Amino acid sequence: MSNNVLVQTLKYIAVEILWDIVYFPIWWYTKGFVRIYRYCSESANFHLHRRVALGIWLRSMFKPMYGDYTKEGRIISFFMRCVVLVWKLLSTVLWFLVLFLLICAWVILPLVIIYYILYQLFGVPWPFVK
Amino acid sequence: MPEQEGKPFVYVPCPLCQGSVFDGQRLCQHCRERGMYAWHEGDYLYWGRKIDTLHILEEEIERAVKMLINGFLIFFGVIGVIGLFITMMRFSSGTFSAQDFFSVRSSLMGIFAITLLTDLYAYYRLQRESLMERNVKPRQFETLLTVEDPSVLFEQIKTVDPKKIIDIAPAYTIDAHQAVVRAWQFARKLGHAEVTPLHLFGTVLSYPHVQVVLGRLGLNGQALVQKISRSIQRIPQARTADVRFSADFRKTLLRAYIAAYDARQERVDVQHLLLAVATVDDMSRDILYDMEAELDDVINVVEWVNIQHRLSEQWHRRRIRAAYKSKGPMNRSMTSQATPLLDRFSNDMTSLARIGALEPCIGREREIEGTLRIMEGGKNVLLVGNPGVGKKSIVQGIAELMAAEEVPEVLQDMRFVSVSVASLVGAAGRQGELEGVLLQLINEVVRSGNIVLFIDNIQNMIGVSTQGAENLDISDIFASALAKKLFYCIATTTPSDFRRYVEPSSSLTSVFQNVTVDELDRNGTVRVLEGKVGAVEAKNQVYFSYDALNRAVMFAERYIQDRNQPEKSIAIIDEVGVYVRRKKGKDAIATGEDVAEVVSTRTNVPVTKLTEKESEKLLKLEEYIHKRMVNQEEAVTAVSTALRRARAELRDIRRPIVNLLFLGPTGVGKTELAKTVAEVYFGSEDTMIRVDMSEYQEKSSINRLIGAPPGHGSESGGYLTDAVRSQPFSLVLLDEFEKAHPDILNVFLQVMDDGRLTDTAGRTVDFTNVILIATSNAGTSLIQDRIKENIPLDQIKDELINQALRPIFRPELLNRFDNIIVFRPLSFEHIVKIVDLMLIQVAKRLSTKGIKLEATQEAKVELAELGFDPVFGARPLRRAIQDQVDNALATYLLQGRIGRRDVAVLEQGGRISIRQAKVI
Repeated sequence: MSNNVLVQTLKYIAVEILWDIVYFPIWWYTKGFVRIYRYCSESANFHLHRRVALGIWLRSMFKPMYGDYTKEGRIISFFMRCVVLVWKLLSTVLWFLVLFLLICAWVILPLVIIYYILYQLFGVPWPFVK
Repeated sequence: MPEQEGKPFVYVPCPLCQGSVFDGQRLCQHCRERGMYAWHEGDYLYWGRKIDTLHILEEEIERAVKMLINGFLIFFGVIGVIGLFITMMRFSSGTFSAQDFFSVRSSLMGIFAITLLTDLYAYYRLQRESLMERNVKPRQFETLLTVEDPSVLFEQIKTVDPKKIIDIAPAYTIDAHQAVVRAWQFARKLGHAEVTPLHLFGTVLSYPHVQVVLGRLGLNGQALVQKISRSIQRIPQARTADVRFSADFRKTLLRAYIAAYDARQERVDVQHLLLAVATVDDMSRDILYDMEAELDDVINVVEWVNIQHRLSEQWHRRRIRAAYKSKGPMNRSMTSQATPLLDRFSNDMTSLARIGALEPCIGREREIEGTLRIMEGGKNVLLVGNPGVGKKSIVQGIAELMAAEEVPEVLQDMRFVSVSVASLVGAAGRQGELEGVLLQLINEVVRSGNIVLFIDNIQNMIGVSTQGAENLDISDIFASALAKKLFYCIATTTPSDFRRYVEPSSSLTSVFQNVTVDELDRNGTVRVLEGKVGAVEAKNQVYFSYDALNRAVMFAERYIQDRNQPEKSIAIIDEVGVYVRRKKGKDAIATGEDVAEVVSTRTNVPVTKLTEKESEKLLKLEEYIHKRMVNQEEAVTAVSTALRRARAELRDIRRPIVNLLFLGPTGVGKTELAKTVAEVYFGSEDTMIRVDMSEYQEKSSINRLIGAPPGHGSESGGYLTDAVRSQPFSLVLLDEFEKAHPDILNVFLQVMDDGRLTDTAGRTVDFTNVILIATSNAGTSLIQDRIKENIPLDQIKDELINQALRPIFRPELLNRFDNIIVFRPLSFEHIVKIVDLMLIQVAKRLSTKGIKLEATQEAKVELAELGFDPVFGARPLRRAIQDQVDNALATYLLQGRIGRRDVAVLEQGGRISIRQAKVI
């Protein structure tokens, strides 16, 4: 019995540690990547539809603001809406950039860390740092 | 459509081992040691985790190794950070730049570099661990059924898609899994050959989730443990080292998964195990039944826990979604404008919903969906429902959806504003001002363009005008604005107001489409209470058992007729919450009995469990009644047995408690007995509704009894129907029943048979909680003659029914009485006894003035002689006592000849002497 337990334990440790280590990079670039990608796309979606509500804004581009249906009101509104639209687009672009960087970071982080370890341990030079 | 046949799930045991996983000598390979599957909507579920000493040990080692590795990774991560920190400190402050970070090489930075990788690895482990657990399959929209036999289904496993063969063990939570392991260990410790659902029942009790369920069921934990232990001890011991799963145990594990699936839960938790145990195992079910908890109760309580879980999830999700909804009058597209006038007379419901201030709307998905669909089609909605059925709750539900923007596009980015007609009318004083304000308000709404109006009780608008009756009222103004389709409106009204006011106003009916809001059924109401009771519990710091909610709904349905569900049940639990906090203190459990007590005090109907004192009183009812009544043993017995039947709830609840016909000459105690019954059963003589039927001799007088039809004078209801509506638990005494018009008597056929009567306003009045007693002098002379001839009462009764009553009452009417009771004429001895009783009444009245009354036997006999009349029975007696006793006493009192503590003695010859008290 105790022999059996020992075998089981060793088997488990071998599987748990060795397979886990092997599977780590595979997971990182497959399922892990899908997860981070999904997170980013959900966040982008939320930003577009809820935070800046671009759809609602675009639909009402030619509607006057504050119920001012005069000619002047309509013209001023349109320009004002354009200004706000630029601002909304800018914030969207910025947010998308952040999300894009997050995905990029996910992809290159392990490589950078490995390179960093190699640099620290073996002095392998950085390609872009003089 | 043909009705679907088949079952959504079927247990599929291995034909060889029948679920025991052991085919006699070795482990069964026919089912690959799985023992039993459950076919469930196309999937084959099985329990795939082995539980024995080795596997339990292995799991413990696994857990230890996992913790060790994770601990090591955290430790290593911290070392790395420390390394980085020391390196940074070595540089003089502020000179460690980002470039240094990449260029400085040292052993410490080397360690830090490696820890970065291990940090990523730690993150990966955490993520993966959460992904290793499998969730319960999300509930499918359509239910798949099977009609196949288990053996056929078992054969199909070989050919089925492997993805459809699901191991349910990974969907168990840590707690649930632990409970299963502990059940196995429990069976092993007791030396049982198999682990059964009963062992599992014993182990799940210690988990908080199950304790909540048991608490809600109002079960005593200790008593339950004792009963389970006793049952487990009856299982024979076996000398085997190996403890296996019994077939029922496997069924329980599978059933728990299906319970979680049905409840749309992601994981199988301990409460699902409890539910499965109660469903699968007869013994466990019997134990619960013995403690007054039925399987349905367990199912409903587990569902209650699920509802609370789902509501809180929904609440949080909607708060997140509503966070970006506009706060003020301005919408997100900024097309709206300020609405100062509207804001004065209204509440912004979307803003309230946004901050989570509205109560949850439960069980009204169908009505909400209907409302939104109609509005999407460009029409306005009129919610028609009786007061208290939950129209406002539906409106709040819509506000919630609008705040979370989970509505059709036409309603997105809109405000839902509730306008108060009362404050609108109240604010307008001068002639024409109201109309002006309304037009201005509508103008604001139209210009703003992002407003959906809500008007509660729209009938209040009809007929309101400050410019005289010949002008348009404000409902017409409002309707014409709505007809232009420039804004949306949801309004409410009641069915009777709809018929009376809204329907005749064609302008309003043309712009609104009705959505009928019906009263919730019993189950729906219980669900609503389950959702709402949390607030009552938090406010009063008490807990409600399931039985309390269930009985609140049941009693409300049965005893509160003038209000609707769920409002009347909510009112009861509100009251019970306060009552229990005061009676039992904080953290107490409100039980069904507490609800019964509150309902009893509210309605004067005894609905609580019988106390010993009350049982004794009921058993000695005859004695009790005879304290007020002389003679008439047959009548008293008949009434007493009827009351006992009613109180023990052995009567037919669809009819009045009892229908009795009292026959006999005047003055023999018919009315007195009715009064006594009212006092004994309903607590007071005042609960008696007395209808003198001699006033209803004309056919047309039925209008006074059950109300006049519309257009026939007064709109008020009838005397009888209104009285019973306002006092549903009462004794209805129909005096001199034979004198009423025969058509009026026919009305009572329905009352006596179905326990209800519909008045002319269309309201059904409930008579199931009344005691109906009709009295009649019909056949008096026959009774007197036959009594003189010493004929037994039974024979007299038969003769009466077959002959004397025939021309007066129709046979179907007589048949509907539960008992026809013949009262005997009183003899002189009886009258003497009655004198005694009546003098006690006089003495009671005198005692309030501090004076005692005594009477000699001769005086009593003399009074009896004076008051006895063979024709009028005991009726002249009251007059005799009035003349002989009351008048004399009144004179003495006025003259001041009798004072406190004095004793008035009634003597022969009608004299009253006074024994004066000692002077103090």
